[in-house]
Parts: sequence; structure tokens; C-alpha cells
Amino acid sequence: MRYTFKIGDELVKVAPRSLADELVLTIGDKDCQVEFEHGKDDRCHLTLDGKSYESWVARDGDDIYLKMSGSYFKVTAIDPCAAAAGASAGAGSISAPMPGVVVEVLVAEGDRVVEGDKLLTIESMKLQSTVRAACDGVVGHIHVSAGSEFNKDDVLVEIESDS
Amino acid sequence: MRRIQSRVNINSPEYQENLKANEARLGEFHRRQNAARHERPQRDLDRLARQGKMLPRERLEMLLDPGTPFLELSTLAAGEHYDGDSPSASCITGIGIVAGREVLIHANDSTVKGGAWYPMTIKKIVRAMDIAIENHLPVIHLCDSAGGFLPLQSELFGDKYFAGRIFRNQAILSKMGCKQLSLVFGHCTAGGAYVPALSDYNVIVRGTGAVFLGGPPLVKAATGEEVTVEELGGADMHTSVSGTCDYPADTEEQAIAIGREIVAQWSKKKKWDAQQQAPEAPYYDPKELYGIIPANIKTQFDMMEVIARVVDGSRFHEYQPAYGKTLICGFAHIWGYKVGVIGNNGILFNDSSKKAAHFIQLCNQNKTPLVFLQNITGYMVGREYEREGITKDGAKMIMVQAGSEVPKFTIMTNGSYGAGNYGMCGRAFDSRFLFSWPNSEISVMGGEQAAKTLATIKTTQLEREGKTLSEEERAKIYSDVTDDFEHQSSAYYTSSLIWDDGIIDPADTRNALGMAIATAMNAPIEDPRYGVLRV
Repeated sequence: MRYTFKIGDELVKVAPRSLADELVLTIGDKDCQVEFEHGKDDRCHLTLDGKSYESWVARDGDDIYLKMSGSYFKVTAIDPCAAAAGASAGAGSISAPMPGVVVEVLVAEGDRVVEGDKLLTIESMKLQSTVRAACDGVVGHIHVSAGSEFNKDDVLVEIESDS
Repeated sequence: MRRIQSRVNINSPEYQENLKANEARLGEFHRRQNAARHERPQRDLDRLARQGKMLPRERLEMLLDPGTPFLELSTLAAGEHYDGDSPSASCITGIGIVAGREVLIHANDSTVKGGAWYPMTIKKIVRAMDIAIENHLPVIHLCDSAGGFLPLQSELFGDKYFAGRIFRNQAILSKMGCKQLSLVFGHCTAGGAYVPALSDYNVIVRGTGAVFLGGPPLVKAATGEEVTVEELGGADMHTSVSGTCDYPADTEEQAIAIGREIVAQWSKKKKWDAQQQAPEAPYYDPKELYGIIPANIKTQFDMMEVIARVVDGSRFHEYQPAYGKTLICGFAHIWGYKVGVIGNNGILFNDSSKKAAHFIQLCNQNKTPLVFLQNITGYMVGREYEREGITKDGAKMIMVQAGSEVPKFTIMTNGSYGAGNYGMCGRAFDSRFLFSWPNSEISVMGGEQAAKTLATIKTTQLEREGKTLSEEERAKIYSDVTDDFEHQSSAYYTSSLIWDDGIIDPADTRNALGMAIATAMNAPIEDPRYGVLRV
């Protein structure tokens, strides 16, 4: 198992190993022996390769703030799964997930939208759902208007992406 | 496990509009629940006081361990039937803790027509005892009933799931080794006499409790014999002469104390090892569900936002996140119990149905209980989808779902229409527990189409009979049909018919499921096996 942390602007990969009752971290190609003890409040006693440091640790959501030897660090654990979530989506044309009818068009051509903004309300199989922008960008051509019927995979709206 | 990233904006007009609608719905729900539990005619309360009897809920409170939760079932049963004459179907059922043991409780409500059994009372008691059978629970009966409600006897006597089923279930429970205790507070006449007689233990209160096949008037009519209640079936006769009852008690309070002592003697059975982990509260506030559940039932909402407000830490491992996206499948924990969650995010297509079938098999092999979050208008229709085999893909989902060995739990969160109700483990598919949200609806098809179809049939019929209908008359037929259909689809109506185990406040979903899962863990989980799949 290897963890990735963001410390300041730098990405650091760390592989922990337990040897007897010692913790060894492999950081890059270097091994580092670690002892760690949580003290009172946010104070910690940290020993790295035999050298002792007094430090303070505070947690704010997924971020950890660390004060050590007079310097401050912000550490964020990077979840490798997070980037894998969901299907790939992006700019370009948004097509109909199923046959149906347009209830309402909620944007106009040229409108600026951010990811998740509502573009259209459609109805299919007795259910009204919202078609949302899959990325930040500008609304291009809108192929439908209120009352239009469409088939599966028909293009409904185009989004010109920022990126 | 990763935390779900909510996209809900609590300041949006949409959220605020939903919040307003749902607060009104909750107000109505709590008003109905309170009325079913506590509002009774004064003369009935006076009668009980004269007899020196406690109210059924006072007995319940005295029986349960202090500070423990009670999962009450079907509080609004019969609420829309019998002109409201049988609130809560004249009985209380639920799961609680007595002397440290999980037990199912069935209590007659003698504040309503002397605790007489309406047809829906019997349906509710039979369902409660089915729950005991499915989950291997001991049962405590609090007996105080006048017997079957005679004017409706044809709806409660003689058929497979009518009154006889209560006694059949008692015998089956006993055969399974599930203990039963009856506390006899009032008369147990005719069939009702078998409730204490078929229990392993019973306690009877002197003066008010009595057990007999026929009461004094019936005996006089049948044989001419004149006999008092006490001689015929009182506490002292049964505990010292016939041996039908085990323990006499001087007061109700004493009877309950003896009952608690009896339960304390029962060996605690080992539960299924569910590898429970430490529970974690959801990261997102469950009360935010009030702003997520749409004001209009036709409006789509993201079921992931619901999952985020039910599961531990709002953490969710999504299975096949990019395939069949109108159905969410994945693993999570509820009160520390691992569950497989299946929730609708749109219509069921070929891919979403196959995904469901695969995921249900994974959960059965892993012995992971399944939670179904229903908001389903049905399986997709149309030429393209039939050619792709939508019917056989739906059949796969139904086959493995119905054949599941793991306990299943269903929540009706919004709409439940047509075959979608089947695939998503509707009432017919043996969920261990099924709860509805106050906003939810169930019907064979969507309300609007059904109303249109019914109104057309009705107008055609009238026209055939030679009547000419004005536009106004047509409109009235349509609105009457729509009103009826909407009423009969509502959660209050379906819960009145006991199509569920009760309506719950959406914010309580996690707690209800937690207790339901804990209850289900009293029964072992069998190895998976299924019928033939049309692949």
C-alpha cells in the first residue's frame, strides 16, 4: 500500500511498513524510522531516524495542519479512488438518455454554465428529470424547444468547454 | 470507504420549496400518528379506568427495558378503513427489548370496541407473527380482546391468512423453538383463548383476566348451564385446576413484573455473525432529506443524496459507477452493519436490470443484506428495448432478487409503479421489513395515465347507455376518478391496507433500518441458490 499526500504544492508518495514494533516509511527511495506519540491537546512527540521533534497537529475536514520546528505545513491525503468516480463526462454534445419530450429549456445559447447547472427539464416514462451541464463552459446550439419530442441518443444541447 | 460528495445546495429555491412541502407532509403524518396512538373517545377511557385496567401503551412502557428503542409497526394500519373506527387496527405490534432480549410484541388495544379484532387487526397480527417466524424472534402477547368483530366475520374467519393463521403461526413458532409468553389482562374468548393456550408461558390477572372457549352467555345458550366468569375461566381456576394458565397475578403491574422475570429465564440465542463494525453517524444531516424529496412526485431526484443521509459516515463504495447508471448499486454500512444498497435513479433499462441481477448475486454470495430504495416508474418500454430483451433482463433481476437468501429491506421513498415495484423488492417479495415515506405512492401505473384510462372507460360506457355528456360532466368524471386514484395510491391508504410495516419520517430511515437489520440477524443466512435465469 502506498499513500499520496499533498504537502504545500508538492505531491509526496509514502509507503509505510511495520517492522516489529517500529514504523518505517519509505519516502521516494529513502527509508525513515518513525516514532509518534499523541500528547495533550494537539501536541505530538515525533521521532524521525532517532531525532526528536516537538510538533502540533490539527485536523480540518480532510486536511491536516502541522507545525514542526517553527514551520507550518498543510497536508492533504489524496484518495486515489476519488479520481476514478463515475463515468467520464465532458464537453461537447449532450444527447438524450432515453426517448421523451422536452418540458422546459432552462438556458439560452451563449449562457455561461458551470458543471451541474440545469439545462433542460425532460419527461419520459412519467418522470421529469433534469439534464445538467457535465462541465464548465458556454451553451452552444440548443437542438430542442419546449414540447419537442426526441429519441434516444438525439443531441439535445451543445456545450463548449472552457478547458 | 469514500464519502459521497453531496451536490445539494440548501439555499437554492428548489430546496426551500421541497422543504416547505415536506414540512407540511410531516405535520400531517405526525398528526395522524398521534391520533392513531392516543386519541380515544372519553367513554372508552372511562370504562377501562372503571375496570382498573391500564392503557395498552402504559402496559407496553412497563414491559420494555427502560431507555431502549421500540420499533413500532404499522401504526396507521386501518387508518383509512372502517370510517376510522379501528385506529392502528386496534392493536400495537413492534420489536422491543425485554430483560435484555429482542422480542416481538403483540398487544390488543382494548380502548377500541373492547379490543375486538377487525379484519385488518388480524392482518396486522399475522404479519407481526410472520416477522417473528422469519427473524426467529420470541413473542409476547398482551391479551385483552373481545374476539372477532362479528359484523365483519366473513372478512376475518375461514381463509388462509385470516384469524386461524394467528394460531397456526403460534404453533410454527413453538416448533421452531421461538418462545412465547401471554399476559392475560382481559377476556380471551373462543379463538382468542388459544393465544395463551398455545404460548409456552402465560400469566393471568385475577378479576379481569379470563380464558374460555365460550363465555357464560354462550354456555347458557348451548347447554343451559349457568356459570360465572371466575368459575368458567378465571385466574384461580386456570392456574390451580385446569393448568391452562401458569401464574396468577393480583394486578396488571404484577403480571408484567412476573412476565419480565419469565423472559429473563430464556436463553439468549447467538446471533448471525454480521462482522459489525463501529457505527458512524452520517456526515450529511438526515434532516436535509426534507429539502431533497421533491414537492412534486414526478420530479426526479438523485438517490445518491438519500444514501448519503442514511449510511454510516455517508461512505459508499459504488459498484459499476459507469454502467446502467439509472440504478445505483454499492456497499455501505448502516449502524455498523454492512449492506448492499440498490437505489433507483431513473427508469430501469436493460443494463441497469442486468447490473442489479449481478450485484444481488454478489451480495448473496457475500451474505450481505440488501437495502432497496424505491423510486421507480417502471422498466423502459418500446421497440428498441424489447428487441434488446428488456423483459428477459427484468426477469433476471426479479429471479435473483426473489431467490435471495440474504435479508432484504425496502424503503418506498417516492413513486413505485408497475413492474418496477416487483424488481425493486415490493411487498410481494418478502422484504423482512418494508417502510414508506409519507410522500410515497404505489400504483399499478402512474396516476395520470390510470385516471385517463379509467375516465375514458367510464364516459364510453355512459355514452353507450345513450347518455350525452357535457364538457363539464366529462371534466367531473375525470377529476373524480383522479381523486380516487390518488387517494388509493397514497402512503396513508396503502399503509392502512398493511402493504408496508409502517410509514416513517424520512430522517428516521437510518434508525428504522438499523433496528430492522439487528432483528434480522437473529436468523442465520443460508447459502445462495436461484431458479433458472433466462440469459
